[in-house]
Amino acid sequence: MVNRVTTSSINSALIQNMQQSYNKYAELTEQISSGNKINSILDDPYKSLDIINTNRELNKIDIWNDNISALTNELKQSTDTIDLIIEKAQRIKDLATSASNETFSSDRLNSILEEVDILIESTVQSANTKYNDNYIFGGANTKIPPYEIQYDNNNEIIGIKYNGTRQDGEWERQLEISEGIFQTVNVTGIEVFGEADVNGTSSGIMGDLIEFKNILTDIINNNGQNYSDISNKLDDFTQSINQMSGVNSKLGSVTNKLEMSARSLDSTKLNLKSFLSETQEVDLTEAIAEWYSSQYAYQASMQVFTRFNSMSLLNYI
Amino acid sequence: MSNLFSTLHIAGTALNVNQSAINIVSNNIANMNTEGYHKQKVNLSAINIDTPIFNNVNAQINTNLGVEITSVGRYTTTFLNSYYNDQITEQSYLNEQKNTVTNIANVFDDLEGQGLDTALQAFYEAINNFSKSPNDLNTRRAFIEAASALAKSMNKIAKNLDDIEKNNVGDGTNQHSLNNSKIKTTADSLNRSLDELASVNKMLANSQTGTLENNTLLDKRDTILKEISQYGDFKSDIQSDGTVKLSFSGIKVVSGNGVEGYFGVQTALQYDEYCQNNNIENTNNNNAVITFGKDEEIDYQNLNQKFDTGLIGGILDSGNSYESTKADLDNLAQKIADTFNEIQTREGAYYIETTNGNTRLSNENIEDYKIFTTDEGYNNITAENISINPIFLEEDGYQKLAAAYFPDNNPDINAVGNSNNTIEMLNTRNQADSIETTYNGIVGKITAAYESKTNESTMQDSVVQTLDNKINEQTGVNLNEELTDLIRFQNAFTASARVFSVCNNVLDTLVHLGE
Repeated sequence: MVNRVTTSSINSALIQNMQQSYNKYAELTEQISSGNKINSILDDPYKSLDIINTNRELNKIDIWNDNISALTNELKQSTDTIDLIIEKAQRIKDLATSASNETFSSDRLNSILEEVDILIESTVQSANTKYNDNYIFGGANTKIPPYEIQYDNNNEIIGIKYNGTRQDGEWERQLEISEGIFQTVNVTGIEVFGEADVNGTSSGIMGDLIEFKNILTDIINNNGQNYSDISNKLDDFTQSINQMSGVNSKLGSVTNKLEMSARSLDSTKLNLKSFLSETQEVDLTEAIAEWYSSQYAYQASMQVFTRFNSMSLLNYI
Repeated sequence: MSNLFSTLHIAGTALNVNQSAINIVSNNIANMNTEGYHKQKVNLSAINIDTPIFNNVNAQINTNLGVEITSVGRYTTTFLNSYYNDQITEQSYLNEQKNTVTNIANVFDDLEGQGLDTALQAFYEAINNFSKSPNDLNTRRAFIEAASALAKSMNKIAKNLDDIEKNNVGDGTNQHSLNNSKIKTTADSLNRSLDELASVNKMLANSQTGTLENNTLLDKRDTILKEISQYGDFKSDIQSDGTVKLSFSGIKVVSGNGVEGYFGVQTALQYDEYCQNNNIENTNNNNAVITFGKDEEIDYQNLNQKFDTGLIGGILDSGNSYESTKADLDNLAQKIADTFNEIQTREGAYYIETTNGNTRLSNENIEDYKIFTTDEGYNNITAENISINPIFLEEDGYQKLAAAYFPDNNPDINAVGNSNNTIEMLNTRNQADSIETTYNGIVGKITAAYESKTNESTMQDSVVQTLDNKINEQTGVNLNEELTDLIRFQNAFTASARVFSVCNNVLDTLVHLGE
């Protein structure tokens, strides 16, 4: 015996098929019009998690890229400032070289002394440079000028005091440049320029400046110092300039490293973006081809439905 | 010799029978689209009498008395029906579970970038900027804004989950919220179906008094049983008179006489009171508790365990799903609060203090300057009550954020550019069990549940659909079949009428024989 087929069962099967093809058609239409295969996490739960992670990763990379450019700018300002101070140190070294010539009169020495005062002031001013409203050579003390000129009662310069964080303290300012890697932005003034605190130690170019000034003053006042002290000081100047150049080349290598990091972040970003677009975005060629075929399928199912329903013994009674 | 009148009588029975048969065909066609209608079929048989025939051929002929309808049968699939009803129970359970996970997944849908994950990303971005310029008023304020937005985003998700749970099973305490809940309206419609079944039972008992069946009432009964089976695992025991004894896990629900009781819903609070009054251990963790009883009397206080499938089982389950998601979310809130509060207030952490234009570090009262808190304090932080410490929303509250950290607790009072504490906050993002990993875990759990429930429910849908088609194919109306029947019975009717008229002519001829 042939299985029975009832009018309503075949109707419901036809309607179901028609709905299926309509759903497919509507789904593809939505994908094409929105440009996305996945519009909500319900569209594809597992891939959505990938999308969430990738978006988060991209967001991190943007932050790191911002950090790297902020770092690079601040480092550039640091190296520029150090270069400027090296120039000034060279000038003082030249002055010292000429002052060590014993033929200079005390008038001439006095004018050198005046220039040294001006150079001390301008060096301190340069060392007190700011980036983004922060003093960059003060370590973590970003809101007070790192260097302060000390004067005696006669308004004579007698020292340069360092107010920043010292090497043995918490001086580093850091920014994250990739997952868990924090790059130090700054160098402390004490490491580059040293200091010449009246009541403390003397080091670096700052120390040299004050010592040179003291030697000059003593020679002018005939306080037992002699010209050979100036010649001895020349070596110190060379050493301090080398110290500053050393820091500068260190900063330069950091800049190079940052450039490399930025490049690798960019390529990671590119990969993630293409992954994201592969996962989330719709392949239009494929989608439109499918869209047409689903349209035909939908049309066909509608036609079958109407044709089937118009077929009945009723037509022949 | 046969009697002409008996021939007329035979033709008469045929006319009657075919007319009735056309009546049944007409009824079938009329109901071809009626839900739950089973095709009816006339069963014909020849009428004869059992008189002794001996060798008398006339007596033999006279045993034929025409045709009659012995019964009108209905196409049924009794075995399939009970299997089908079981599958429907399972289907509505799975569908409801799917609804639940869909609702939960929708709450966590963050691809458009407005949800918790986005808030968390924005928060970390704010921390990064804060670490870049730790003493900048704007980055500090942005940090506070982002922290506040993160807390609010958690509040919103918790509230959404709460609302959905309330819509499903009420809030567990308030009768009004229970009355508007899905579980209550579902129980009410179940009770209505029980009433309908009882009244069909009554009608069947009145009407089906002989051996013949009341097909329409039986159709109605089967439809109601199908409806009831979507609510839970009900057992139906069909009696010889067509009535049904309905029971639920051993409890008599509907008997031949009427409804034995109704399903009710009480709040978790009411059930708890009952347990306390009767010294029963309360293991219930659902906001709604299903009861059963009649006339204000509750015979069964808690049937939640018994409703492990069907629509009601699904709704009760949804309560647990929301609760477990909320617990996950609460853990996340506690983790966020603990992580940042710990770093903000740890030993060696310092905040900025601006007095008389001087900017200095301080750690006075830092224990009170936790970032995340609740209205009731720092403990038991949940997704619902997490909020930013109001201290930070004050005019100079931004100063209280501890950016600086000195490991030996030996601060450099001027080191306002020290952002080691902020960097520690930023670094929490890179730990193996970071907040974002925890969040991913929650979303992963939800999406996995969604995927599996959708698959299960789609599979069950197709099982039910196949069964539905099978039943429909075996019991439904086929128009072609009916139309051929119609022509068959019409032809038979015409032929019988022809016989009738021939008999009439023969009689006429007989009457005029003597003229």
